[in-house]
Amino acid sequence: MQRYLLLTFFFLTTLSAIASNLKGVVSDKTTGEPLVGATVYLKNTSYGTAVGLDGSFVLKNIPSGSYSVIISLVGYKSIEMSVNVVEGKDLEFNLSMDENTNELSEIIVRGVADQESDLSVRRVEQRSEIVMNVMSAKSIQLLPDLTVGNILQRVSGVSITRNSSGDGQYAIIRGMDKRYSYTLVNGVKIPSPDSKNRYVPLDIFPADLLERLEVIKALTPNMEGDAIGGAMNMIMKSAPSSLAISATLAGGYSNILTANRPFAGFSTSNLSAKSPEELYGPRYAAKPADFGVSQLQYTNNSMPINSTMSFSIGNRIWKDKLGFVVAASYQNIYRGTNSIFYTLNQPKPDPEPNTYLFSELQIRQFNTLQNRLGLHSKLDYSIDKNNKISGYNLFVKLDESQHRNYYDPANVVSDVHDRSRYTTQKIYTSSLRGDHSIFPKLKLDWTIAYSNATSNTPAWSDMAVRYTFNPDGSLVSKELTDFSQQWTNNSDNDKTSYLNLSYQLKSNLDISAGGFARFKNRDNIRDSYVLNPVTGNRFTTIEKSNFFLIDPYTNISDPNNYTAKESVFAYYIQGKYSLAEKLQLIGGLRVENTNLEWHSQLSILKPGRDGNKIYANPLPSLNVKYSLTPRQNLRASYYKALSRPSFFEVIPIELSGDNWTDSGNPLLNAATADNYDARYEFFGRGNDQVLAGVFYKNIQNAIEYTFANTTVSSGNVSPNNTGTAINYGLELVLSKSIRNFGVNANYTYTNSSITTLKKVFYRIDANNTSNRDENQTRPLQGQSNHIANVSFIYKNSKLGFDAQLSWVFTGRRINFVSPYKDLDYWQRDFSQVDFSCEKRLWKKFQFFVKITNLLDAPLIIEVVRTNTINADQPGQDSRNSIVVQKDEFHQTFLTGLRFKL
Amino acid sequence: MKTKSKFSNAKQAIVWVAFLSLIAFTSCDSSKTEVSAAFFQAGKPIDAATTGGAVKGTMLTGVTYRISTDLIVNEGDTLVIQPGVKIYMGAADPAKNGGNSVTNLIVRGTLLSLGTKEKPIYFTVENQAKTDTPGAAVTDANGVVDPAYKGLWGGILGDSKTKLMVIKWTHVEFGCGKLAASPVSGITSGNPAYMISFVNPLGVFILEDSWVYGGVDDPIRIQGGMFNVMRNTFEKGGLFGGESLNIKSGCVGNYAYNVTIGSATNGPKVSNKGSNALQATAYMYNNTIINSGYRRDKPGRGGSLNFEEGAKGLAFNNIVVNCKYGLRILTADKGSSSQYSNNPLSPADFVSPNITYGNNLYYVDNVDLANQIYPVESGTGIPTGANADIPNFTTLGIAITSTFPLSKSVVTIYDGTKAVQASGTNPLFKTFTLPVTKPSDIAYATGFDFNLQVGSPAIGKGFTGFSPINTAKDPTTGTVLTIPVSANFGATVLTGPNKDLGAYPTDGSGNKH
Repeated sequence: MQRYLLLTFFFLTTLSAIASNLKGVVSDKTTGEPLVGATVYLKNTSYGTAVGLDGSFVLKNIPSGSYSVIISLVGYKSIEMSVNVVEGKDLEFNLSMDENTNELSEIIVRGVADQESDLSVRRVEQRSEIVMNVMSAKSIQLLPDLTVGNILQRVSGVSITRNSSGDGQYAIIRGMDKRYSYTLVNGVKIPSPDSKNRYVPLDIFPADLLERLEVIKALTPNMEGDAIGGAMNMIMKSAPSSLAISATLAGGYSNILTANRPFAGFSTSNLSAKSPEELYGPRYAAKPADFGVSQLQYTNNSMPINSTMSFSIGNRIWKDKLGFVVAASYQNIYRGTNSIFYTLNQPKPDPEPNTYLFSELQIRQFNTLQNRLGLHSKLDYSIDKNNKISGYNLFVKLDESQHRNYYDPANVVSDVHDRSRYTTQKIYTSSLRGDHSIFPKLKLDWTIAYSNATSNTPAWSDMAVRYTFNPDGSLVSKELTDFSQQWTNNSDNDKTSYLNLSYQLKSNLDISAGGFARFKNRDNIRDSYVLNPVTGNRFTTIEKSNFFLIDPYTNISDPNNYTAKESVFAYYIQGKYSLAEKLQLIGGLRVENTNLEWHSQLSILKPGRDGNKIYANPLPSLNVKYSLTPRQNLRASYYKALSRPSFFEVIPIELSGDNWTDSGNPLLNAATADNYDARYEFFGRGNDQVLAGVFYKNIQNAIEYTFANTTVSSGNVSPNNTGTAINYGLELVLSKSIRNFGVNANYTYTNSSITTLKKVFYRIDANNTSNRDENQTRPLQGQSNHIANVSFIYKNSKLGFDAQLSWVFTGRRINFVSPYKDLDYWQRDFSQVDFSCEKRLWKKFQFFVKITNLLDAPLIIEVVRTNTINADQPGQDSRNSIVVQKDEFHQTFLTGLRFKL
Repeated sequence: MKTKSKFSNAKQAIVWVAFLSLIAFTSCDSSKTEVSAAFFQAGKPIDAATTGGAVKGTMLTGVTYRISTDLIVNEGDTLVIQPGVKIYMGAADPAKNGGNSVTNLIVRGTLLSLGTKEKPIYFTVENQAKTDTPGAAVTDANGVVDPAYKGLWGGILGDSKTKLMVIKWTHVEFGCGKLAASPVSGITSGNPAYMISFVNPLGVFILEDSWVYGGVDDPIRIQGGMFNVMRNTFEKGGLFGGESLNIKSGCVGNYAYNVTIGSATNGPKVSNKGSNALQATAYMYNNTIINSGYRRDKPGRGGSLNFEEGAKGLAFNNIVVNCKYGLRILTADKGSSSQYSNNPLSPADFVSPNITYGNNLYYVDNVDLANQIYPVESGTGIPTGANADIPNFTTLGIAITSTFPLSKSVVTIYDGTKAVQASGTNPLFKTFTLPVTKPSDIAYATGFDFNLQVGSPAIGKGFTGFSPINTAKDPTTGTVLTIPVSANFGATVLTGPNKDLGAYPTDGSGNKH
């Protein structure tokens, strides 16, 4: 592909200057953008440097004489000029370079611009019709994060909720909990492998398949409307303009796993993916021999090595008509978590109403092996100038084998619990898209997409060994208690077709219309068995224990078994109107029609075994963008959005818990919200950026979990539309570079409130206690008042060395809304510092290091009430709050090599 | 030109607005929710041929009914069962529905099961023999489970609107089967049924002179309502857990003159767990509880009488023989929890009149049991009621030796050695030999007579300074609830405490079995 290689033009200028230092700024001739990474060197000498983040360069202490300066950058015409250096005098000049666009057709130009660079994503943000924040692959590559879940915490306005390994799993956008956002891959919504909910766990996606990550905070009519918080759009790597190969190989470890605290894992190789019932039919009486115990045999590994690798190849062939990229990513990560956990109990009325009470203290250890695989391919083919077809496939898989061990240190007879859970989650999405210009003014694009998300748990076993001690502390006996094994299988697949038409009515008015139809099928199966140990046997090891089954049948009517179908038909009409070039209006109306149908295992003697909900939501929106100057935008937007109840929430199934019964609510409606945004944007040179915005959301029919008015004493907690919630805030983003140093910072203030009825246990008089419902006003679950990110970046293109120190701050927030008044679980202020750097070794090889959680920040969850637990109890550190959970993860280290062609 | 352009703009705008309104219009007012209705069938008069379905009317003396699918008494309907009726509930058929199918009597209206001493009523399984032999384990050598614990049918299941359930002189046996899909409130699908379940806080539950045999979980659980449970016999209740009568928040009533033998956990247990406004209240007096608590292998779960989670009431005049625990009073969920300092019992619950107790007789054959007969309070001195119990804590010379929290050792807050077979503690039942070597060996009552011999230390030791509870007022609604006294529609009589201990006072006013 020689013709895409650099074509060099010599630009000869003579400067009569006498200097010992050479300084200057290099920029793009048309856009004025600084050209970071352009090389500046003196011909036939060792003097040379690279242009820094702000476009400037310095060549120091040049001996007097005449030199030829060469400035070059891929994709630009090189410049050569003569300078005369005289001792004692500095020389300063500004240069602008022309893009090398010769012989490049329209299609290829798209490929040439490096879509993965920071610069490119700034342009995406700047040119975008809507309010969004974008993270580039270049930024992602430098981050210490291996999964999309972790990356999201760096984006302005976004915080994350963590899984038990401490990795980001779900995003909270502008204080709106996970249920209020959706996830896209290349603009196509993907289903969730979760057994009950719509939101997609983001720890499944490896970071290195991304071209960029967009967080969209305002909607246009052509976008799906269930984004009250926002939408996350993972744009995957697209075909490059010429042959590009990259590969990484890295290894590391998690600092928490040591000889004293080894990784206690189990083998997953002999596990049956199917339950006895699935294997032998629903009337099969299971025998002990049908159950394996290998998942309950643990082996210690004192310092297991984490490994990650990725490979990507892309090219453009057949006279550049066909572009393709194929990429694979593999991660094998051992994680450990040490946790103190107090289990929830019903509060007591004394000494004050709703006095906090726990039922058990658990000292927990998690040992988690995550095996993550991502495969992706993208093809685009230009049939002719007016017709293009592209195909996309993504397969991601997360195999997680987790061993949780806990015991209760204060218990006089100690049960040591072990739970093994091996879960495979897979998401596959495939789409075919066509872009056509039917007439010069009429454009059409279509997409057909198939997506399937599955979760399969071939082994989920709980066992406990009971240790009984003598008064002197010596062991009396060790006995195995009943243990359970269960299998779960969930799948959720979507078939979607999209059609969009756009017509240029006038030079400044585009009208577009279109819509989509999606057919979803969801299936959830759970089989569970209890194995009873043959009594009288002292426990030695699990494989030497004998069992029998009192009840050899799984419950095929398990309440977790259900199917749901949902069809969504959406259509829109959208106008895009430009007024006097500076003002752009995009608005219109979208209508989404939802038809959800469920079939559950509820008794036929109860209402709601089957049902359907049909609803339609008109969703108007208007986005205004006013370009104050070419570098400054003012934006304002309004959009209406909805949040659908999850599939399971509407089924009136009852699941009894320790403290209450969870039940569904078929009358639950979708929440809707009016969302207002205003933002000022300044795009400086290079990555320099200032964004300042405010938002206001009014959420109607917010979905919150409250005690339902039921008569049975256990009490039902069910999702309800609980009136109106308000959420407002402001966002600030600042990026600034000075020579080789850069700083990226963002800060979001959010304030929300909702009032719901909650249960209070109180004393009526000396002889009687009771409980009643009282209103409590609080922030929305997941909303922090303050979240912030600051990254310091050092980039030395000459040395090929980049380094970044990142600080993430998530202010205190409610992690779990208690149905009991004033007993919400708050996550304390959380602050994490990560470091990463990369260094070019040889021309095409880079060495990189990623270290997370430098300051060893623990995650602490507390109930903000006067501490009624003694200070000497594990985890307690304050008189004014009760610590109910404390998770420690320690640091992780990863180092490796990257090859890039 | 200019005019034309403006006109075309206006025209465009009109078309635009019209189109938008059209789609907005088509999308409105189409929101609806449809759910499948609960299966309903008008109640038909029951007759000898009835095998299931919605019924009302009277089950007649001398008739045997064979029920193979759920029998339903609709809201507003009444089912009366005359003395001597036998109802064979269809046994769980493993070949059907993956072994999940059990038959229930679902009571949404009123149930009056009115047996007599001479002609008791039976809810049982046809041709199912009892295997009551001393020392028999839950499973025999071949792994076959004792039919008492198999859950061969479901239960008599009340629902949230059930007004009244009166069960007198009735045998209820072999139930508690797994409900694949629970047909009623208060039991989750996939869990065992309770042999009798009552869940309406505005309803009344009466169980008198009846026999409840076997069970998988609690033989009886009430989650709301006034109750009077008197003069019944509970045997082999629960497989690996279960109380003769498990009482939750919203329940107020009496549990007296009952015999419990071989319960998995407790006789009566009352917990205020749950969200009913009315505090759970149970008067537990003059019961005889024997050999209970052994199939519940988790420690700290009780074995005779139990108060927890802020429930209140009283416990007097009970005879507790060789049970794993004596009276336990806990407000925390699990027994272990009280051992955390400052996550303890609600102090008020130990203070009169929230929970009062005393005059209970404990007979124990080994020290492990003796260490656990007196209810212990967080780090305080002598248990409040223990000096009124038999044996007397102080007179025996027992002292508190440690306070909570304890280290990893058994709960020995005092050394109970002196209470083992202490003189004056053998209640001298007419036919039930003490001491025994292994209390868990006998979990049934057949062949034993728990009347007191002349000279029993239980005679004349009762406390009679209170009356049975018969009314309660819901603190939220102000509704006053009462236990009706009636031959057919309520308790036959609300018998107060006796001067003698146990279920069989010598004046004959107690248990008639």
